[in-house]
Amino acid sequence: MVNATKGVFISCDIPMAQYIINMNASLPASEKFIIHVLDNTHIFVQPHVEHMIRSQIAKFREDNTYVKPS
Amino acid sequence: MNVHHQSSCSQNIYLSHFAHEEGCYVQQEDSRKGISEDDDAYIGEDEYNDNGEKEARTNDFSNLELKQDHANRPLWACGNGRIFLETFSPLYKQAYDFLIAIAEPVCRPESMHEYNLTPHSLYAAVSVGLETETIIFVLNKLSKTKLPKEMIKFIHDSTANYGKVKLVLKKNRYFIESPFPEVLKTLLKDEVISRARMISEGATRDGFTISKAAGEIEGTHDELLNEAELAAAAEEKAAHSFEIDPSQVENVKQRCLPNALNYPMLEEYDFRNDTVNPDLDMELKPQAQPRPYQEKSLSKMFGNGRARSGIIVLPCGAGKSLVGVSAACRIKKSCLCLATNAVSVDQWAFQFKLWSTIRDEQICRFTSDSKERFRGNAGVVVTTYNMVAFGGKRSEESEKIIEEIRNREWGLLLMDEVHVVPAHMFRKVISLTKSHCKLGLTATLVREDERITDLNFLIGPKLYEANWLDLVKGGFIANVQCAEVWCPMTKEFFAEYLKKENSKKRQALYVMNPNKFRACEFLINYHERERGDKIIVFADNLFALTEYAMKLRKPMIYGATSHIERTKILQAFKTSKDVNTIFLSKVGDNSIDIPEANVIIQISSHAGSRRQEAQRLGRILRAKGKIQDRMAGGKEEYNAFFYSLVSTDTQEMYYSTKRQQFLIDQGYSFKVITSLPPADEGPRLSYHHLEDQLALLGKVLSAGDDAVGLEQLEEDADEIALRHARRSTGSMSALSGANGRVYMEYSTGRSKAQGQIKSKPRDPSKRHVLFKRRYGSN
Repeated sequence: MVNATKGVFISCDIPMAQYIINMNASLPASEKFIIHVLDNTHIFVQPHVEHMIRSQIAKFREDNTYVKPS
Repeated sequence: MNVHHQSSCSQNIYLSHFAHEEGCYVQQEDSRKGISEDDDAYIGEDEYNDNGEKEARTNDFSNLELKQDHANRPLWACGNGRIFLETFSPLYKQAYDFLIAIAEPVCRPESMHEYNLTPHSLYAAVSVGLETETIIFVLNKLSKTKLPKEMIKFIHDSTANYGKVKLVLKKNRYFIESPFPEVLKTLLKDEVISRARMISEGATRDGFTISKAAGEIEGTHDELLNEAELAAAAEEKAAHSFEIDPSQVENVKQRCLPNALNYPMLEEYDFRNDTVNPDLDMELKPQAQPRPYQEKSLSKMFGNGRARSGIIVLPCGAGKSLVGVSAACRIKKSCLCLATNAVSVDQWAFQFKLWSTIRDEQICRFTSDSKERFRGNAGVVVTTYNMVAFGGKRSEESEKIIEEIRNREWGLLLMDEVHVVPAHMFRKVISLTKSHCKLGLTATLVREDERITDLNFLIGPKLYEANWLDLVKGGFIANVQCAEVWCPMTKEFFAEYLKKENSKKRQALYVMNPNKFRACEFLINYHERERGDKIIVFADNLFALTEYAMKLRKPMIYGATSHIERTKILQAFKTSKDVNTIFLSKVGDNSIDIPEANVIIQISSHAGSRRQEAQRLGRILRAKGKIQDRMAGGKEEYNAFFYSLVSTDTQEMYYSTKRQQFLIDQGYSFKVITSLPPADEGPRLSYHHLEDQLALLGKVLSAGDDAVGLEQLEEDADEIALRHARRSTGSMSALSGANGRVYMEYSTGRSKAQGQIKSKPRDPSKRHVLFKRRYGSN
């Protein structure tokens, strides 16, 4: 019997995949969103977390970026 | 000539291919979305930011009237004090010399410089002899637009009171002198100044001592002759003065600065007419030929035949010591020279003997190792800031020497590397020693604690600042290719980096990143074998320093390395063909003179310290090789290389960009390299196999938190400032190192909350206008 699961397919570089996995690991069991880690650079996740992941990564990136004060 | 790649903030993080298809596992398109596209997703509605519009309005100068012949004029002057200079203008050289005298350089890239008029910079301008009207006249002449009214008013306001008050040192007593008794009365109304006043005998009715100053015109500098005559004319009138407490001099000077009472004090030393202090017989040797910019900086200092106190800023390797020695040779009085450590004390003593005719017995070094006393009544003493400011108990011998230093009236106080010395130590040194004239030398007038403006009243205004790129073009310093090498984190290291419990080991993790190690190894191999270069590798992190040096079997020097061993290693590096790479911790940042080196690889650095970056670059700035080879188009256009290895996606990216700011402001550009080492290097480099990488990871994780921390040196002002910025507190335990120097270790963390991890200032209102629109919908 084949089960179809709706989800979002993420493709990114190795460190970012680790970042997402780490993010998932830090959440309580009920909120875990990774359905399957496919390989080093591809992850399949719940459809509703896309926006959350994007903004988390944007924040992470922002934290590592220096903006010269004017 | 140079290919300029500004190091952009873009990182190689991309998150794309969100496919919403039901069938999942469907890849929609195979394009990597750039950051800008990514960001669009967050903006949502096209809300326009009010602040942005306001900023745009205050910076709009389109209503300024453009002159008919604007094309011939080199600069734009804006109402908010900003001045932009076109470096391709035929008048560039003259305009630069003028602007550097009246304004503060903000950013000096290749084609367009930005300057800022500040009260301090104008104070410096008038103190080198420029008059208010001259400043406005010349500025107007050079400007493409009519000078904005605000700017003219600003210049008038900032310079009106200049030159009315003088600080004079006579027979070891400080006097405030002015031809206008009413000005002195205004000053005395100030609480700080009246408290500092000392009532002396021989005072007149209103309490001021009146003396007739002899008219004195010694002006040698033609263009400044007029000013000198005017100044002398004023002096022919009676000079009123009152004495102040020597310990209060600094406070009084601070009260008189433009931002307080606005009567900046003139501090000039008329050394030719000083008959009280004995002369020192020393001349520059004929082979000491000051370069044009060295001449220029000296002419600013000795503009009207007297010596002014102030700071001269020259890049490392541009010959600061010759400027210092020449200044001492012109004044020809006793000179106290202060350096940061014992090694540079030796170097200064050597420079004095090299460039001047001073006799061996007239110069002495005073450090914890060598306590020489000079005979005769005038001479040069070279010592460290620590030795003078040291508050604890001293040996009888050094007590005597320090007593002598205190009691003497010094003609010149020469201070090296003024940017590194903590302000409190400066104060102590300056209050302990009485000198007629102070000259500060530095390459990098930036500090992370923003205390740099204190130098204005502690020493004096900035007299001259050289433009790095002009010196590069003139062939006086090496032409350095700067590169930032992006090393992606490996999967395992990044996973550990992200774990909360490893927050204290983050630095160790991103420094020990195997990809970084491989890039470093590749660069060392390439430069040693292909080019025969001499390489310095810098690592602040002691754990990394040892690991790298052991694995690559190279010598290393850090805080605890003894003086003898240091000398041995440096000697081998200089002379031996087999030692081409050395590893240095941050002890090598300042003042260690290694002229042979021409490649720097930086594997770990001290957070966001701009000064450290510039100082490290300075280690390879000394020009090498024939001058024609180094010019644009020569066979060795770049003969020095500065690599900064950065692990991407980590805090290091933030620090790295911040660190580069100073050099970027000097016009340097960083090229980003993303593909090091080349893929075909494979197993020839270390850590090719996963098990090696995992072993290394295990080592990092099992090392104690203290072991993976930064090396702490005592006189490290930036460290303290940066730590404050990170809002971390920690206990410190001192342990003593070589040479009786004391190193401190801050054990980070322990009592600290986790909040420390991400505490960089993220105030949205401070963001640049372009970035304010980001994340609008979040």
